[in-house]
Order: sequence, then structure tokens, then C-alpha cells
Amino acid sequence: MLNKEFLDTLKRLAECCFILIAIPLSYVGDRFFVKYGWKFSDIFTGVYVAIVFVYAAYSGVTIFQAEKKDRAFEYVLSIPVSKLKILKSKILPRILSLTFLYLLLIILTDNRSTSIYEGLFIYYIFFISLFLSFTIDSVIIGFLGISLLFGLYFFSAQSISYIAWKIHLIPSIYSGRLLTQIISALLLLTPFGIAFWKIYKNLDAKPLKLQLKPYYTISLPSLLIFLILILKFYRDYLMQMRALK
Amino acid sequence: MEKELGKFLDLKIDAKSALPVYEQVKRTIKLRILSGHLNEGDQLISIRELSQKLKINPNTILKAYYQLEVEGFIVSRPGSGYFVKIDYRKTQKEKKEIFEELTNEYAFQALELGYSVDEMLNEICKICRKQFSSINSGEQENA
Amino acid sequence: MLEIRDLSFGYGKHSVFENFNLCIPEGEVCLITGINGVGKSTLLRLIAGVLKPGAGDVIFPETMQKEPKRKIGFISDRLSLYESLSVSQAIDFHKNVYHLSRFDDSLIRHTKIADSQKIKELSLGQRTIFHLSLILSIEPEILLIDEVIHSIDAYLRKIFLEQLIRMISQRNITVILVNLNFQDIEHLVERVILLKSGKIAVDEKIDSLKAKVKKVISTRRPSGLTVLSQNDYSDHSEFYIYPFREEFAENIEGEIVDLDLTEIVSAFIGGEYA
Repeated sequence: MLNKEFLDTLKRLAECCFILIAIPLSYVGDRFFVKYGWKFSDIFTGVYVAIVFVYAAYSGVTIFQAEKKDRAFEYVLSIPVSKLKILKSKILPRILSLTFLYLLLIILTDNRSTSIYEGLFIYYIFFISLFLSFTIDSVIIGFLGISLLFGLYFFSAQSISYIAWKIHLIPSIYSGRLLTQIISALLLLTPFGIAFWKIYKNLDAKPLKLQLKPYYTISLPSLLIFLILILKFYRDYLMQMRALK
Repeated sequence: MEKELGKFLDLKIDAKSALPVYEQVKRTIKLRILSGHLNEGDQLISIRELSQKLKINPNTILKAYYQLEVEGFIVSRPGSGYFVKIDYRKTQKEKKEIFEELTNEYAFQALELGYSVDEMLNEICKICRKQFSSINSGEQENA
Repeated sequence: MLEIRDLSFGYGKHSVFENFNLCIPEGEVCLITGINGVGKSTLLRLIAGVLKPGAGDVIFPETMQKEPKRKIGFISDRLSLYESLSVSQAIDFHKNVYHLSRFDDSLIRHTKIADSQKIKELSLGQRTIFHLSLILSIEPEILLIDEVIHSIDAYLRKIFLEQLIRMISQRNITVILVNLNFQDIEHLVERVILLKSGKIAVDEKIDSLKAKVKKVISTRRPSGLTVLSQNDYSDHSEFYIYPFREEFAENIEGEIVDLDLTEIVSAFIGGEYA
């Protein structure tokens, strides 16, 4: 099971590397648009970062793609491998390749201070995409949904910073950024993670549409509560930031 | 003229018969033993092979073989298989039973067709004379 | 004993089984049949663990209780496998997952399947025989076969049945077949289970079923007997009677005919469509 998953992981990575086409394009751009001050190395780094982020989302969302495309669901449900083991053998190669790419990113960007935030974001993207993988049949809806949750991540992190500063937990609105981002990630991941696990644990050969109830009973309400809270506190946060200027 | 039955078992199971399959198998084997096509000491085809050949559940064959063993027609030697064992007294009784059954069937149908007992007896004599002479000439050829 | 206890299952609002109970003795070859859509495939999937019951349990024999799926061989007409894998890759995956030390490819060698061919490139018959050989290789204690036996040609079917019979004669294997066509398998079957509206209409050993269902050819409907269904012709009718007992024969006006399994099942089903 694990060998197959490693192979599939590499295939997904190769699919994401379509972004590499940006490199020859940007080389051409480098020759002709030098006056705009673009440097090739910057473009390359930008492209690479884009690959890593896209790959994090893509590998999360496509975690059961082999089973969907190959019509192997019934087979996988009939083999004597526990659901937990299947999930573990799927997550392991993906997390490993993601970690490898992330380490390369650190080396490439040579900017240790921001790297940890990028790292957190990369794993957040992977897991939220993974937890949403059952809902996504179309790539467009998938990226829309995931973009929403990307945005929410930053908004909620800043809202939490604001709240923490308001109740005097942190000295300034800028401190403890890492912690607030971690809390934000956990808060967003939890309802989706619980819904995903509930669905996955009880997953069987019934039509998928009939099995998505936990998304409606757990994730959606949590998301709505989240949105309401963020709307309230993010506004206050923005006003505070303006006041500080 | 019916071809002579060989000692190798082959039968077509009648799916429409109310007679259970194991009973049909049993009867076929019994008939071959009683008519001398299977002799004492001959080994019967294995249960597995016969069930594969006829596409019958092995348990059905096993039941047939087991009952034949209980009735004294065959004996099982563990590790070797099933062998024909003839109890002379038993065969007389069984032969009589089969003979009566055959006669019953024949007489009933012949009577239904409207033939009298005398006509039946005449026909039987005719046929037996023919059979007897062909067997005799056969023996002379082989001798 | 394979026991299905108080099983309830449905697809959304559509209920298929409600408090369904069934016991299948170990080592029996069992046929489950009934009209299309009655839930035969659903029942097999529930036993295989591919569908989860809403309520109730499937209770396996003690030797299997720790890891039932390891000893269940299941094949359905979806022939679900990783289609992009090649034949040899699929075999390796299967060996890996079931901890098999070797794989018996004797069934496959009868076809012209090459190791490098992808599963999705195989014909229906080839894919069926490949899948069958996969499930036989795990030496199952329970074999569940859903309507695929007639997707393969008569020759391959004979080869497969020979291998199945060998298994039955060597081990105590419980075989549950879902089929609508009884050609080549009629004499393999020991028990017949007929499903009707989510319940068991018939659960009999085949010999006793054949003794209990008869066709009566007559001009008059037999009185006092349950008629499952009938065929009407210009000058007579055929009445399918169940349950039939020897004593009834005297009072029946007409010819009493014995039936094969196809006619018996047809008689039960015919009553449903009437």
C-alpha cells in the first residue's frame, strides 16, 4: 500500500510542476523586460514558492484521487487494511515530500525568519485541502473553497492577535505572531478535521453524496460562527491598525 | 441399439427430476456394479474428480459414496480411495428390486398403450432371443 | 456459522433491509436470488464489509472474527480494482495487502493476459477471470460472488468451477452466489435463498425445495393449495404449487410435473410481477 502511495505522490508532484513552464517564459521576460527591474532569480524563487503552495493544496485534495479515477473504492473497502492504516500510508509520503520541498525552500530563499510562517502555512494548506477532499469534484470549486480558507487563515490570525492584545495577553499587536497563526490554523482545522474523520471512518460504498452529513452538521456551522467572529474582530483590528498609524 | 456402458462413470444429471442429485449418482453407480461393468476391486473415480466432471457439489458425491458404502457396495480405503466390494447376497436383493422397478415401469406404460399381457410376453421373448444370439455371436468372435 | 442479525440498511430514505435475519451454516454453497433491485448485491456487500449496516451485525465464524476481511473473497460486477495498474502490479499489491507468499496464476494462464497489460485494457471476461483468481488466491473461508460467473465464456467458466470445486472438496469454504442464471451452477448449490421485498421468501435446501415446488397442468385451478403463479394457454393452464406434499397428489386433477431450479425461481418471481 505504501509503495503505491509513494509513486502516486511523485505523480502529483510532477503534475504540479507544470508551473515550471513559467521559467522559460520568465527567461524571455528577463531579456525583454529588464527595464522593469525583474531579476531571473527572483522569478525562479517566486515560481518555486508557487509550486510548493499549489502542491500542498493539490496533494491534499487528491488524496483519494487514485481510488476515484481507478474505480477502486469498493476494492479498497474490501481489503483487510484498516482505514487508519490506509490514511497513514497516504499521508506519510505526501508529508515527507512536502517537508522536503519546504526545506529546499528555506535553502533557496535564505530567509530564515519568514520561513517558519511559510512552513506553517504550507502544512495548513495541505491539511485543510485533505479535510475538504470529499467535497471536491471540480477543480474550480476546489480552488475557490481552498482560497476562501487561505484568506480566513490570515484574517483569523490577525483577529486573534487583536483579541489577545485587547485582553492584555500580549504587549503589542505584532507580538506572538507565530502563536496566533498556530491557534488560527488549529481553530480552522479542527471542525474540518472532525468532519473528515467522521466521514472517513464510516465511509462505505454508498453514493458519496449520502455520506457528507458531517460537513453540514459540523464544518459549516463552525465556519459560519468563525466568519461572524472574524467579521466583528477584524473590523476592530483594522481600526486599531489605522489608529496606530 | 444402445452402446455398451463402460466402466468409466459418466452420467447426465436430470435437473428436472424430483430425485435428489445424490440419489441419481448412487443409482447410476449401483446399476453399473450390479450389471457387472464395475467389478470387485475396481477403483471408483475420486470424489473431487467426479464432482469437477459433473459440476456437482463434492458433498453430494460424498453423500452418494457414503451411502453406497453403508449399503455395502463400495468400501473406502483411507489414502487410496473408494473400491467396489460386492456382497453377493446384497446384489441379489438389489438386482431384484431394480428388476421389479423396471418391470413395473414397462408394464404400466405398455398397458397404457393398450397392449395385452400376452403381446408383452411375446415381444419380450423376441427381443431376448435377438440379444442372446448377438451375445453368442460376439462370444464366438472373441473366442 | 455466518449470522446476519437484525440487520437494517438503506440508501438515504430508501430502506432495503429492516431487522433482517439470516443464518448460513459453514461450508455450504448457497444461492441468493430474487428480482432485480431486491437487495441481493446489497446483502453481499454488507457481508463483505463494503457497506456498513445502519443497525444490526454480521457475525462471522469464530476463526474469522479477529480480521474477517482477510478471509473474505468478494467480487461484484463492478470488478473494482486499481485500473491504471498493470496485471503484475495489481498482483503484487494484492499479495502485499493479504500477506500472500505466492500467487496461483493457473486460472490466468488459460487466458491470453500479459503481465504488462493494464487492468483497464482487459476485456470484461479477462478482467472477471483475473479478479476471480485474485480472490481465490487468498484461500478464503467465505467466498462472495455477485453475478459475474456468466461474464466469462463457457470454457473459462468450466475451468473456474473446477478450481472452485477443488477448493470446496479440500477445505470448509462457505460460498455465497448471487445469480439469476443457474446454468453450470445448479448442482453446486446446496441451499437456495430467495429474497422478496427485503425479506426471505424461501430458505431451503435445494433437494427439499425441488420436492416442494411442483407444476400442475390442468384445466382447473387446484383447490386448497397455494399457487405461486400460473401460465394460461388456450386449452389448459400451468399452476405452480408451493408447498407441495406427496399426500396432495391424490386430490389433484391433472398432471404433476417436477421442476428444475430455473422454473422454480421463475415461479416465485412470476408471482411478484403479476
